Amino acid sequence: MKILLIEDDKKIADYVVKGFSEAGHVCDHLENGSDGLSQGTRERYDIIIADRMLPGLDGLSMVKALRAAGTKTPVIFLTSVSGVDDRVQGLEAGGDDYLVKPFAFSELAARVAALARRPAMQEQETVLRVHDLELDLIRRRVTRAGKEIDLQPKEFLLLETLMRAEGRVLTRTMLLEAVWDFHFDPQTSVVETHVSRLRAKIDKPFDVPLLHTVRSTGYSIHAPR
Amino acid sequence: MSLAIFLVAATLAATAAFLVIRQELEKRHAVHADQEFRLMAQVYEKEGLTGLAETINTHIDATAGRDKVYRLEDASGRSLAGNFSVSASLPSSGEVSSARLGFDDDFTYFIRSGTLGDLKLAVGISAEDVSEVEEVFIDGVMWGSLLLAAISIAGSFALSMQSDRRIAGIESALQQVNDGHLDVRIPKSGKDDDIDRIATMIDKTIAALGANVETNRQISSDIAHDLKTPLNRVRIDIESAIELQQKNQPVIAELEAIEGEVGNILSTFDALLRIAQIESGARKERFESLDLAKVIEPMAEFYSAYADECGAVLECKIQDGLPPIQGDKELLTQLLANLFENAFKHGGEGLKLECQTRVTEHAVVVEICDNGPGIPAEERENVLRRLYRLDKSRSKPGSGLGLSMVKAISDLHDAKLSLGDHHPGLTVKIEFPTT
Repeated sequence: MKILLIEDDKKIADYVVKGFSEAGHVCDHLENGSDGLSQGTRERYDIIIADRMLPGLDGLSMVKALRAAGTKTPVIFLTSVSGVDDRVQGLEAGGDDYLVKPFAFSELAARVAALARRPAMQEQETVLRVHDLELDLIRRRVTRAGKEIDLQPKEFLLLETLMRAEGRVLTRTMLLEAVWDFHFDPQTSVVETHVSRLRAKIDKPFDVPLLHTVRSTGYSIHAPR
Repeated sequence: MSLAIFLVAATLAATAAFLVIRQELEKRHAVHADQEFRLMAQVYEKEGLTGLAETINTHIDATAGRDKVYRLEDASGRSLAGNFSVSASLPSSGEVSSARLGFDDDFTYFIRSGTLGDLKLAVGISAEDVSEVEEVFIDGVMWGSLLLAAISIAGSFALSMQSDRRIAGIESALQQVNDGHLDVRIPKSGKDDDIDRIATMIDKTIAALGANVETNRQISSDIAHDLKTPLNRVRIDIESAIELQQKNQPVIAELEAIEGEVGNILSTFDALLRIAQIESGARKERFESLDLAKVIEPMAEFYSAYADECGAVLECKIQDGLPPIQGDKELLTQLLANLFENAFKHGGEGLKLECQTRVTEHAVVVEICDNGPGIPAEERENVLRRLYRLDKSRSKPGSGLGLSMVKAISDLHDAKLSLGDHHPGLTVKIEFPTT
């Protein structure tokens, strides 16, 4: 994957570049908004990660200009204030996601992976499949090995979200946002509870587990490897 | 300006009074002249010319100065008695200047004249008193006006001196506020006038400012105090990591502990910033008409599975058709989440958490009750303060910011937040205004 990072904090930039490079991606780094705008319009990237506060051109204006110039590359904003207003403003400016600093690299990586795959997800799939698990979006039906599984609406949405991201990790906060539209961080293990309930229905009665916990990061659904 | 108006009014009133008095005096003079004439006519009838002339002369002698004047002449115009010489056509009744009667003073006379057989008699009553009244009046008005003007000028000067002094008092108080003395209060005159009312308003503002500054001071010291503890723990972890490293032993446990502590510090800052942002009021711009049921229901659903897991009971009773309130859905979700989280954190095994709504005339009331340890009455104000924790040992996880955020979000929504006793447990009541 080719990633453009525009971030003026050297330490955070090094941390991000190192993380992506080690995972086998190409990550270009620029320090100010105007360079980011010219580079972002000139070259094709799979994803752009932009700090909100940048010297030269601030992150919001840069992304607005990128969008005006017709660049459709997904953008993740990095913000240092966790104000919901920041998030809304970022999305309004044409950003696709946001992440509050400080963040764990695994959280950023999970969000980048989710965004980079987004265009593919927009294809009209009506049945999602992982191994022998099937989720029929039209008939709102879930079966595993041909056996019907009864799910609550939120469980269905949780499973759908995980299955659309098959093979990738979704963090707790990503699930909270996608499934419940909640933008706060519960201190209690509520998300874990929901996931384990889902697991009890889709994995427990079967031999091969599909829904995996990724330690200190989140959850992933994938066929046995 | 107002002084001029006052003087003109006073003069007009005095003039009106003078005119009434003069008219009355003149009427009396006319009557007096007429009576005198008729008296003389009776004398003439009884005693003839000689008697009349004698009576006239006696009257003249008895009159001081020229208060009464007489002239008696025969048909040819020759003077027979009296003290004025001019006989030229006098009105039968009316006012005549003394010059026309041949006198050299400035008075006027009320004349009554007529014939007594062949004779012509004219009687005049001096209007000197009218002139005197006039003089008194003019003097009075003049001196009165002068005196009034003097008093008014002196009075307004004194008043303005006084208000200058009071404004200077306000100025000096504000200067002291500027210098950081927020306990200053402006001296009042006790008259409850405009200046007093402004001074009271300014006092209130200074007091509010003082309370704010005090709160901020409290917050900064709380923050400093609260962060010292975890930072100290981080230092201890670093020290032991260094020690272990020197012995070539693994340090991963220490590093993980540091990561955890730092994570907590960062989330404390995060929450502080969020509260500050909420308190700034900027979020009000995003308010929309909301059905609180649409906020509460997903939250209850989200936590119900968790409640089952913990062996807790979560009950939610939401009235149908709640009137809409103005609000920010995300913040209200956060508010409920904080209250639910608190209940789960402190409630423990056997927790019964209830959430219900009520509609009153002006509000939608949301009540969240639990059967946990509750909050002692004397602590209910304190727990809304930032970083304040009942658990002094700080052994349970938490930042001491959950309820502060609930308070900030309630305030932003002009909602009334109150904590009460649920016997046992805690009742949190929030009244959202519906208009």
